[in-house]
This record gives sequence, structure tokens and C-alpha cells, in this order.
Amino acid sequence: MSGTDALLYFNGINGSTGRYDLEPMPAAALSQVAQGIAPRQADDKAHLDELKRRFQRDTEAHYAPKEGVNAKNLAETGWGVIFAFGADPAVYEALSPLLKLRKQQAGDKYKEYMGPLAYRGASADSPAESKQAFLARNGAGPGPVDPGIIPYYLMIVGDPDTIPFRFQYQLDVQYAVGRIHFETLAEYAAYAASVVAAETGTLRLNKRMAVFGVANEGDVATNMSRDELAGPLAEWGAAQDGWAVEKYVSGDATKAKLTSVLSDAPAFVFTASHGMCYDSGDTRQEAQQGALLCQDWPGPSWQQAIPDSFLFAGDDVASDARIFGSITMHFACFGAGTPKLSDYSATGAPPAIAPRSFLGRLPQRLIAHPRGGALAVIGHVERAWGSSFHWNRAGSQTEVFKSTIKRLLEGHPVGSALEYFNGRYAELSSDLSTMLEDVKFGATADPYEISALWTANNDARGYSVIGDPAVRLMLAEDGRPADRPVLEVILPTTQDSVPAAAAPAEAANSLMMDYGVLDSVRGAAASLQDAAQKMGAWLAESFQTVTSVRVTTYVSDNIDAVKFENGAFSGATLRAMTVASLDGNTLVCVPENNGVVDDALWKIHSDTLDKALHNRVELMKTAASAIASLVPGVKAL
Amino acid sequence: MTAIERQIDAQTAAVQALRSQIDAITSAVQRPGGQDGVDAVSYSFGVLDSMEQAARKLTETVSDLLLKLAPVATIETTRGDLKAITTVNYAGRATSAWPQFPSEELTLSHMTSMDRVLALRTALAGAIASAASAMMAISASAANPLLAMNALAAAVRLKESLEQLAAAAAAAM
Repeated sequence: MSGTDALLYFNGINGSTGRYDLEPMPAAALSQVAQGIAPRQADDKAHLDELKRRFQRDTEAHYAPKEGVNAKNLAETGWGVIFAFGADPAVYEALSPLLKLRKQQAGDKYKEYMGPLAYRGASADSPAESKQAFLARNGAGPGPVDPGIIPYYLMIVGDPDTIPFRFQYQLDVQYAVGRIHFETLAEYAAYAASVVAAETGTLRLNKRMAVFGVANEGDVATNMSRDELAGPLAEWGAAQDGWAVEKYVSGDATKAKLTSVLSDAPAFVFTASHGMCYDSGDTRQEAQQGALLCQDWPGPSWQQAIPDSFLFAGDDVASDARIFGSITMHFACFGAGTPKLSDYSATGAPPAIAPRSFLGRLPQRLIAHPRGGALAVIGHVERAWGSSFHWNRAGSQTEVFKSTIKRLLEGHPVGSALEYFNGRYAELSSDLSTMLEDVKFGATADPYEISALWTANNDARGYSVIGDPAVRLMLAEDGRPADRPVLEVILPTTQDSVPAAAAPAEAANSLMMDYGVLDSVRGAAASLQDAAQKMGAWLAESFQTVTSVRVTTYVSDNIDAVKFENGAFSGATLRAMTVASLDGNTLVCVPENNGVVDDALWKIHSDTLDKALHNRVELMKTAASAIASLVPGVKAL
Repeated sequence: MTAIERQIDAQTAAVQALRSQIDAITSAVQRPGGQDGVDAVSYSFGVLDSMEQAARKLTETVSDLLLKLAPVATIETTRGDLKAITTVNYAGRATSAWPQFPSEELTLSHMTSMDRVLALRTALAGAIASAASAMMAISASAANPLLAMNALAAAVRLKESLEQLAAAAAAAM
């Protein structure tokens, strides 16, 4: 088969149909798509110039920050956090332990981009701020990072609808960028607690790496990623000094095995598989898009909806998983996130592939795990492509992966380690733009080469860090014992007594002790309990006689003169009374008039009694529910 | 239906809605990370170390609410020259004074009013019980620092709900 006719295979399986998200297509067809791509935004030209500068810089052997800056030292590189304009201050507060730590580490190179300095998303009046506009507004232009102006490590806090993936891609060319976004404040707090505990506590992980390579039967894409990516990485990893590699490929790469691996995760976990994708708006899309399709999938012969038992999604991360301190990397479509609009369109407006842009639930769950989460997840936004490790006529190309992973294994911050992908993106973009310009002016180009460059370009830019870009693996020195239990971060003197399966709340309490807020938290909890008890006392007092209903009926000729005092009316004549106790005893005083029962008054009295009895039933229910909640262990009365 | 009866019905509906709101807060606190969590609430209690202040504000609101819950409600109904009076408390005790010869219209109206007042007080008591549950759930979450921000946001919502409840109670009494 010629290069033009050769089929290109793509990662990504549609969960609704069980079929490929993108069917294999000839290189010529994809080449047409690539040539149809025109700059979609005004800043694309500037971005391309930046990529070319980056490429030139990289070929001159400089990486990221300006010369002389040690990427491992935050005091030199600086560290900054970017919020969206108008972000909820509660998120800032939830992250405050992490921000405080980074401020200590980065000193005067610590920056908070919030308030007037915050990123400005799209509004009715203006489009989303470009990277160049953001940098210019904050005093920086193109070129190597000067941490004295803008820090090298930048953590974006916000959803990708507000702070677009495109901004992240572009910023990542110069800077080391990561992003976090969660649905709950608790997850923000959990992530901050994990990072702080990892860097200030006793966490030291064994030098263990797991390589998980799915190869589904009859599926070209995963067989290729097993043979040319996962397999070579496992062999290479085993040769790294002091590192032990656990290799799970083909029949071992099942969902059950991955679950087992994460029950005590190695320091670094690499997976290569299809990522799940769904039709825009599918009810499973936000929870499962980017989930890892495991060996359980029988391959393309399976022509129906993909069941949950085939895939590993965020909800599959067990509540007792031990992933604290790990870093994971996933070669899978949409593993890191999904943009609202596809990056791949031949002409015109890019199609919507989701109702909104969102981060993958799996990385969110991994890094915000309540028992201590992974420090970062490297994944792919949008589709991942085989061309990132397989080059036409050159075969397997894994140097970018190996270089990135090597930096991670050596304790580099994850954002710095990912510079190899950013450098590759710059190189490919520069080459691609030159080639497309040549074609535009009449040159003849190999469609396979164009399509390969284009897919590789998009693939390289899609690798993103979910998490703080400054986190790094905390590894046990050779010959020293490893230490992962979360509680040991806080209670090193009592580590032996800490149960391995400590309750989340206990673990969390321990995580927070170093921050000096636990006493305050306990004080607040005690105050709230006091207030609840006060309400309970009010209920008890109000219902103290609820065990009996007492209805009394008076009659008066001059009702205006009647006064209610001490539970009775003065100035009126008591004519009827009923006392009904819970034990069934009922005392009744029936009114009479001239020796016969006063039917009219008795009816009034009876009706009142009915209402009081009904009311008692309702109040008893209320009392039961209150007691059940105020007295632990009592569920119902 | 008289204007007063309409007012009581509206108050009862408001209190029942507040109870639902409080129940939702409890559910959200007990299910952190859920789709309907309380994370989206913007709160104004300040930084993490102001938790005690948040708790104090909430307890003050509780005290204010309880003060506004009169132990006894008095129902008066007048039809023409005739008037009936009934007092009810939360324990279900009812004490009535009637004219010697009440008209059917007076009787019917007074009984209907009594229904409404009892329903309102039952709703209030239910809302108090619900709020107590919410307080316990929040205190449990506040004790877990990973859930503390969620708990604080819930505390703010509960405080707002209780303030509305106190206003409803004051209007009803």
C-alpha cells in the first residue's frame, strides 16, 4: 500500500456505539483536513511565531526558563496561580494551604493572578483573552521566561470553559503549566492537602513504575501502542537506575488488574489504551469521557455499546485506593479533558463534541482522592494519536516519552518534565506551517507527510498536566525504607499505631494538623453541635407534654372579658375537657345543658380534639426525626 | 378565604419550602462531591481560620430564631357579634373559649383557622428539627478538614435559611 493510500488509525472508542470515534482514513484524506485548517483566531499567527521562536530556542539547547534558572528550585523559577476573573473566593480559601506553601518556596517570585490581574474569559463584549494579551497585561512578551516578571510554573485554577484549553496550550509553550478544576470545594481542599503533605511530610515512595499496555484483539491502534510504546517503555524503565518495573500488557491489562495496581500504586504509572468518548451531551460523557478502555474490550468485533465493565473511569478509583504521591500518565483520547469544540475540522466552524469543555473525571478523582491523591496526572486533551510515538518510515519513536519520564523519575517537577512535549509541539508546528506555506505557493507534498505532521502537532500540544506543575515524585533514596501512609505526614511519632485503613476523616484530620487550623475546626464543630443541642432542647421542652393531648373548652357570655392565664381562661366557664394519654387512658368531661348532653358544644369540643390528636401525631414524627439525628445510632422511633 | 387565612397559608408554604431547603443542605453536606453539592455557594465568612466565627454567627441566628418561636399561639375568630378564642401550644394542648350560642359560621371559620395555625406550627417544629439535623451534619463535616469548606458553605446556606425561618416565625406569631 502506498503512503497515500495507507490507512491511519486513531485512538478513541465511542461508548454509545462501540465503534471507533474516528474511523481509519487514508493519509490523503487527512492531508486535506490538515490543509483546510486556517488560523481560527487572531492570535494564531502570534502563537505560530511563538512556536517558531520556541523551536529555535530548543534547537539551541535551552529549555523553558531563561539561562541560569534551575527548574527544580522554585525560589529561582517562581510559582504563580491563575484564577479566572470573578472566581469564587471559596476556591482560593480551599487552596490556601498549598498557596501558602508555594509562597514560602517561591518567595518574591510567587504571584497570584486574581482580581484585576486574573484571566479574563469570554464575555458578551469580548472574546476570551489570548495568551499574548494575558502576558502583555502582566508585563511579559514572547521569549524565554523571566521569573522575575512572570513565574515559570503556573497553575491554572478554573474550568476549561472559562479558561480555555487553547490558552493553556499556548501558555505551555513558554511556561510550565498545569490546571486544576473540581466540582466541589472539598476536592480543592483535598488536593491542596495532598500536595502540602507530600512536600512537607515523610512521604517517600519506592522506585516502582507500572506500565499498563492494552492490546485489544484485531485493534491496530492498541496493538501498535503496546508494541511501540508501552513495551519499549517497560524495557527502558527496567534499565533505569534503581527502578523496578511492573509490566501489565495484553491479557494482564484488564480493568481488574488496573484496580489492583491502584490499590497500592507505584510511584509512576503509565497507561496506553483507547480513551472513551461519547456523543455530545450523552449522559455518560462528563463522567466517562477519557476513561481507559481496558483489555476487557474484545476489540472492534464488539459492535454495541461499551459496558462499564470494560473501562476504568473516575468512579472506579476505589475509596481505599493508595495513590497518594504517585504521578500517572495516560496515553488515551480525552484522558485529560475534552474541549467543547473539536480541534479537528476541515473547513468552517469546528464541530461541537461536548456541551461544554471539561476535565476528565479520572484525573480529577486521582488527584483529589480523600485519602491522599496522586500529585499530578499527565493526559491528553482531545484525541490522542499514534503518530506521537510512530513516525512514518522511521517506526517507533519514544524519545519524547522517555525523556519526559526520565525527568520525572529524577525528581523534576512535572511541568518541567513535560517540556519535551512542548518542544516537540514547537518543532512540529514550525515544520508544518512551513510545509503548508510551501503547498499554498504551489509545492507538491506527500499527503502522508502532511497528515503525519498535522496529527503529531495536535497530539503533542494536547499533553497536559492536571495538577500543580511544580509537584514532583517524592522518592525513597536507595536503600532507605519507603513511606506512604498519609497519617505519617502529620504524626510521625505514632505511625506504627496508625491503621492502614484509617477513616477518611481521621486521615484528613492528620493531614491538616500541620496547618494549625485543626483546633479552630474542632472549635467550630463544637459550637455547631452546641447550637444543635440547643435546638434539640427547644424541641424537647416544646414537646415535653406531647405524650398527652389536653383539650379544654370554655363558654362565656362576654367573650371580650375572657383572659388566658396559666393555661386556662378566666372569665369563662369550663364546659368540656378531654385528656388523652399515649398509654390509651382518656379522661372526658362531657358538657350538659339542663341535664342532657350539650350536642352543639360537644361537637365543637370533639372537632377540636380531633385536630389536637392529629397535630400530636405530626409532632411525634417531628420529635422522632429530631432525636434520630441528634442522638447517634438512633435511626428512627 | 380571609386575608389572614391566606397569609397563614403563605407562611406555612414558606416554612415548608425552607425545610426542604434545609434538608437539601443536610443531604449535600452528607454527600460531598455530589452533583448538587453546596460548593457553588459563594460565602462570606472569610478564610479558613474563621470557622469559629462562622459557627458563632450560626448559633446566634439559632438563638434569635428560638426566641421568636412563641410557645403559645392564640387564634381568635369573630363573626358578627360572636367571637371564639383558642390557644394552642407545640405539645398539642388546645384551650378554647366559645360564646354560649356560637353560630355555625363562627364554628366553621374558627375550626378552619385552627387547622391552619396547627399546620403552620407543625411546619415550624419540623423545620427546627431539620435544622438541628443540618447542624449535626455540618459539625461532623467541619471536623473533617477535607470537607470543611463544604461544611462552611453549608453553614452559610443554613444561616440564611434560618434567618428566613426566624422572619417567618416572627410574622406568624
